[in-house]
Amino acid sequence: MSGLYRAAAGIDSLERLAMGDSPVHRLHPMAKLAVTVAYVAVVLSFPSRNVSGLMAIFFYPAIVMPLSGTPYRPLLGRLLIALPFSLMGGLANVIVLRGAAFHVGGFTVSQGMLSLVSILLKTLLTVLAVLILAATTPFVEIVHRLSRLGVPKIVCLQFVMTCRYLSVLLDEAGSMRRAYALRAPAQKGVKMRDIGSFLGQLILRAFDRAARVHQAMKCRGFQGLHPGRARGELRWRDFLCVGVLLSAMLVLRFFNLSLFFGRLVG
Amino acid sequence: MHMADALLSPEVGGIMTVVSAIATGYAVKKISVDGPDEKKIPMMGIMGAFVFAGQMINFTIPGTGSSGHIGGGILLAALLGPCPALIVLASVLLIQCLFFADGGLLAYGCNVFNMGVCASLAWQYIYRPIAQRGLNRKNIFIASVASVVAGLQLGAFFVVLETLLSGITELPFKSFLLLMQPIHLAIGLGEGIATAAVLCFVQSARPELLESVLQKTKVAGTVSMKRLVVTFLLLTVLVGGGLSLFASAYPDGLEWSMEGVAGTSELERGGAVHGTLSDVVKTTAFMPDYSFAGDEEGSSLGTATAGIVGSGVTLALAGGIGLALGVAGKRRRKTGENGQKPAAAH
Amino acid sequence: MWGNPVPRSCCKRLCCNLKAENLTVRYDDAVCALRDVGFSVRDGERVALIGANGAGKSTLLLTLVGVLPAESGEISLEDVPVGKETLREFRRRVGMVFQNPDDQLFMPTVYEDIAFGPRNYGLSEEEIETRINGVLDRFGIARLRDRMTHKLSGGEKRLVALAGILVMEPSVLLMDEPSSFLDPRSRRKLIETLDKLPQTMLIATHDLDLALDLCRRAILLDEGRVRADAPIEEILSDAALLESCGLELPLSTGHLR
Repeated sequence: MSGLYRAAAGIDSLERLAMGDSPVHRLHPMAKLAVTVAYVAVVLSFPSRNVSGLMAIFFYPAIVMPLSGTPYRPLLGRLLIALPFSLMGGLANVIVLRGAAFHVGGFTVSQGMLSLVSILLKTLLTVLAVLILAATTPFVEIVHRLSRLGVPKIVCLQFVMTCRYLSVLLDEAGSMRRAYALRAPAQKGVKMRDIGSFLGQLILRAFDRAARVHQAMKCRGFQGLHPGRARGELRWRDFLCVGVLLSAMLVLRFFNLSLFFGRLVG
Repeated sequence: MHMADALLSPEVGGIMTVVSAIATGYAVKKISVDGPDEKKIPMMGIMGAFVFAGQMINFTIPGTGSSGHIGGGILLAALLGPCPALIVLASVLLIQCLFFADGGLLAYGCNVFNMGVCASLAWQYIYRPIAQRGLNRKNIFIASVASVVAGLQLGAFFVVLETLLSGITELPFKSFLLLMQPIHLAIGLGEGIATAAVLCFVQSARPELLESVLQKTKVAGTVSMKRLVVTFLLLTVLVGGGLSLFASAYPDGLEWSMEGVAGTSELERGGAVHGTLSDVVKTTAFMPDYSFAGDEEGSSLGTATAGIVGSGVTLALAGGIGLALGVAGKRRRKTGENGQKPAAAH
Repeated sequence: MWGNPVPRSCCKRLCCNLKAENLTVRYDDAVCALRDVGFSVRDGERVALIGANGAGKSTLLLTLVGVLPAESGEISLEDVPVGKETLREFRRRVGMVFQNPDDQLFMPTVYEDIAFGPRNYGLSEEEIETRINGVLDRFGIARLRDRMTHKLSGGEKRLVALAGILVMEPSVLLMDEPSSFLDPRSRRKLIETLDKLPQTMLIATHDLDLALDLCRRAILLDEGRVRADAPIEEILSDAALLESCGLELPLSTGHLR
């Protein structure tokens, strides 16, 4: 039950963050999407045992998060969701790859351990990157731009409407779930016996709502899909930003900053 | 079953994104060929929100103490048709990815394929032929359970495949498969039964809903149940057999790991280390993958230490910049507030 | 006539008369939702549509805008009957405000939602922007322009829904329970807003006090039939009539008697 409300609150807080204002917020949504995709791709392209190289990539979240005022707290919940799968893959590597990678002091660090660290780091970095995107760019804006890039209108409108009705349906399901829990206090979930009518009711209500929404659309002359608003073009600073970030990423991908520092210090 | 980014290589992620884009494009085309059913648009939008909420309602599985939730693929396909269902699931997955980090950005294509395309296929080839024989409770039950299980099995198989092709984890193919398929068989049974219960309810309340979807996607003639069961069994045997052949063609997980371990497992801390060490470092790992910045001179040990120390320095530097920016931002906000407050009080 | 509507200068009050004759609506299960309903609303008149749950108020409104098909009967605006060819233009001139603003505000942001109607009628983006700014200013909700629709309060949602209709500059407003989901202050604000609008209005409501505030005439529906069509004070002070239709005397009619 609380999951439904927590989800609604989670979406809510991210949306509120995304409506904020900062140099990062002011960038064009497409620029941010491009940078995020590129960043995730660069992170993933690091071979699984190149940990020192990955470190330099930390600069992106370290700079952009405070700059955009993105809080760290939502990160924890997201990591909880993303980590188990990564952990499984990483632990498998620890078991399989027992060959030593290097020795430090009296410790032998195996290749598997190294790759586990790298996988966990990659999880952290990719989750961070997506969090930054979601906390600085309204979902609707992203979908709008996608539609102008040629993603079919029906897909975009569907995305936008799902987003619109998320809170409505979460609320509806939440209050049903609460009413159920009040009458079945010892239950952890909904009984299998009741799940059919529980979700079924929710579906029927959703269908009725869809019918009413369709009526409201018809009343306002809806005949099919129309082009959205064309507002906010890409400006030179968007290109500049994407250019600088992409080249920085590429440089850091192929030039190991950590090793460079290490040698300087050593 | 949501795949995260970290175990994926960019190549696999990219390819699966293209594959899913093509599948979605096909679905869009199919929907528009069916006629400009503008009624479908609000329906799809709201059903997306429904699936999102529905996935958060846990049901208890009797006798086990565990709980599950619906995935929604088959449910959506049964209520809207397979093509709209794919688009709706794609929207749900995108929202889950952006708002909850449930499934990654580069893994998005994989997830749309594993959960959306697989479910739509299972609906098309398993649910529909059975349901077309008449929408009674028994047929709905068999159709739902069989198609949910099949969709999940297919999806789980692709998860394994995509993960292994990415090569980030060294999970042995066979063990990974042996882990994933049975787990998803259990999940599929629970979810299938729940889906069946929901569809039975909908069928009894609004019989026209499920019927109209079947009408729209109708193919000539119905299939006999016997033939259907036989084909299903045959397919299972074929796929299962093929999979195990494929699996055994790969080196067994355990053997492989022994191989990997054999050469180095005797490695001990202390005396003999130095000799093997340079070998090890040269062949693997902490070293960057590019050659030009590798160690032109100096010992490999130097490289490893440099890597560790350097990582620390880099991290500290990044953290320091972040901290400074954060503090600066906070101060700016604070002065902004202070600047406004007297004015407001006035 | 639909091709060139009356120039606005001639129709300063943006109003029209709406007429329905012998409307009968039947649902699948042979239940008659409306039986032989007929009435006419004059230019700029505001009429309350009252009746118990299931009396057919919402059905009537939906039939008037052609969302529900009528089995028989005729609807006309300015004496031009509504038919297949005129339906689209008719819907532009007769705006319908739904009971639940969540059903009506289906676009994610306020701007996008208000722009939905005008875009469907092919207005240019500049024209749409001017109109939206105008209507938002008129309601004093310009600050909501770029907000997400699902984050609005009940009163704000109601005003935005109304703005989404008014932006098409309709002549007639049909409203289904405009005061539902509203707290007293938002309700008061809504009544004041509606009171300033020049449009012809047909307001289906259980809120008899709102009806008294806004309308001089009422149509009382009971089981799909028009039971009474008279000045509102007359109907709302007739305890026996209201009782027989499943309604009660409104609190504020004490002084009417």
